[in-house]
Amino acid sequence: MSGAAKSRWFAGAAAATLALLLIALYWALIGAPTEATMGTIQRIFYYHVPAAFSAWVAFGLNAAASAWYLARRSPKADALAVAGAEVGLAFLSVNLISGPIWAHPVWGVWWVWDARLTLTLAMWVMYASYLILRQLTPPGSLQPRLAAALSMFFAADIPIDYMAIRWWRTQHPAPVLFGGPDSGLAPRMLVALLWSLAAFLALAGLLMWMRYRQALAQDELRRRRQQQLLAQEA
Amino acid sequence: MPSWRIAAAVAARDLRIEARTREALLAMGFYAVLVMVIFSFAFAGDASLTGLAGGGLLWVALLFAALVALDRSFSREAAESSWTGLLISPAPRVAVLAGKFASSFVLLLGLEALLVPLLAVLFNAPRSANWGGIAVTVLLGSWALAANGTYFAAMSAHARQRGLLLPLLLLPVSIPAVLAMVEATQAYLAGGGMANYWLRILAGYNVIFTALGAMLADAVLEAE
Amino acid sequence: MLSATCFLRCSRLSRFFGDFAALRQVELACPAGTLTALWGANGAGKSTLLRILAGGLRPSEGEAWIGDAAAGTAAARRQTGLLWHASLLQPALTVAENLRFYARLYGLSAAAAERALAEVGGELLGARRVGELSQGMRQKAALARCLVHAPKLLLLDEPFASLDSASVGELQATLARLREGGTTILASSHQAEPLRALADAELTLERGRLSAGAASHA
Repeated sequence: MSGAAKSRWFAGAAAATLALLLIALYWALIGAPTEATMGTIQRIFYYHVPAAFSAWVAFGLNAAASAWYLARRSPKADALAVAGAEVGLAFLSVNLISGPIWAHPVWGVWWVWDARLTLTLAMWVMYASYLILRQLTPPGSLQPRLAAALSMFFAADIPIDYMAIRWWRTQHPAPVLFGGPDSGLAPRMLVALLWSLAAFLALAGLLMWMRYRQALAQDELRRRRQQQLLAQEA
Repeated sequence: MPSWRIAAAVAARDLRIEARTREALLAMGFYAVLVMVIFSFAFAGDASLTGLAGGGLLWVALLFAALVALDRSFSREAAESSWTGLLISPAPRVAVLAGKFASSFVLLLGLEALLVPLLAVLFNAPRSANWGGIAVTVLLGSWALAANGTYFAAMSAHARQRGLLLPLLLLPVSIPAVLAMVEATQAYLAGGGMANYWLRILAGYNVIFTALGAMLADAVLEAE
Repeated sequence: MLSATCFLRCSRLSRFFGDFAALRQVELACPAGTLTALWGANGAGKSTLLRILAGGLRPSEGEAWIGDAAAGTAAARRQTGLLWHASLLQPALTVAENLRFYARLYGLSAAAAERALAEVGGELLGARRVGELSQGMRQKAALARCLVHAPKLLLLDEPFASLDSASVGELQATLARLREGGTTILASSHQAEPLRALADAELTLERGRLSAGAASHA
């Protein structure tokens, strides 16, 4: 795809994402009915849940890209991996912050160590450490390799984590904060949720694409700089 | 060139150095004692608390000790650049990693042999405690910490601020294992509960992550 | 240049550390059984080149070959010994313990360690802890370490630095003997004399680039 075509594509995608976000905003604030017991604060749900979902998709891409990198050492794989991790962490942060904002007025507590929250917090620290590792190792062949290996550890760990923490919680029950999307949503609420989901996924995709292209450009820049250094006389 | 021989040679060398210098052991012991003292303030002489939180106490102490042992395992190689000697050899990376794991594991077990009885005495562990079960838990838990810890210590050896990176990488990934260790120890101390389930999680965790570390050994020990 | 048949070959070898070009498109061809001297000021890239050849660093670009094997592969490592400015020995252990460890690491028996120590005339050092040794003795122990696996290629980084005249003579004799035995040797220095007398060929690195040497290979 030529540069001009890419830019047009991007502009179109950005416009579509913006449209989706506006539609989702309408539905979240106006279109969806107010929840019976919790009131207006419940509307955070339309951001809280899609943020988590988008984060998981981004992390899934990070895991797949990391495996691809370990197999093929492709710079594209590495670029996708870092994009997935960064965007995923951003969306997970939205999730982690919006949760307590909802929980406090509704339940009177900011936080409980239930299965889902504990896992989410653990994942947040994991991917934060991934980015810190990348930050602290020199670019070149080392950084992508170590990061990819770390990502594989996360991929193995998260399912086990989920299992273990859930079992722990059945041993030590705690109030479940969020009923979850399947606990009987009114049809208009479901519509609002789906619009939000679409909007968030579009935004995540757009951000990842931008970060991916940036990472590739950085890589290319470094390569060209090195060629230039080689060419110049000592 | 059987890999296990190389691993054994690496482990033997590390342990021999440790026997001569005792640097890691002293630091490990210090942290363990420090944790015990602080917890003694928290428990304020209430023996029943051991039944409730003894598991946590033991593993906090062991986690600190493990971090020391793991860090030493690689920082020891800075002496006379001996790490370069390991790196340029044809020895399979898995073997070197396995040797490092073994030496950290042994050091941890050595500390635990002293620490667990000491804790039992100082904190008046309940008489009905299942010590056999606790021994198995300690064994499996130390394996988990030493295995992943060695891998991440090797990983962070490449980075700046190694001391920050090792716990940052190790602890989140270790969450299911630490949960299992603490819960199992607690269950055995209280004399009952679902300890067996936790041990199975821990054993499964060890299998999966030891295999993963072995498979990905080259990624973390290759030349820059 | 006899590129295809030379034991040690480099082609367009470059290495970057961030924005710094430590090596720029280095080409090298050393026939077997020769001793090549590598001159260059501090920071010229000599150590970087030696590390890449030993497999301790990957090149950013280009290739290096040791015999039939690419540098950095296990086959190449088996044939390469590196004498570094640090001894690569654990100070808390004795020389013999260190050497036996390296023998094990390379898949050899303890006899290989004893043989290597004898080869450098260091039998008396065996029971001494590395941390207690003087610079010259440590160098000797380090040389024994490189020879444990009888490498066909010996890489030396500033081997004559801080040695007294007696040790210099000993090292020269050892290197000459090794060369007679067919070992290929590449030694770096920024001091000329002890190395120049031995060298079959000379190369100079200047800010990462090789400039033409004085004598050429026979």
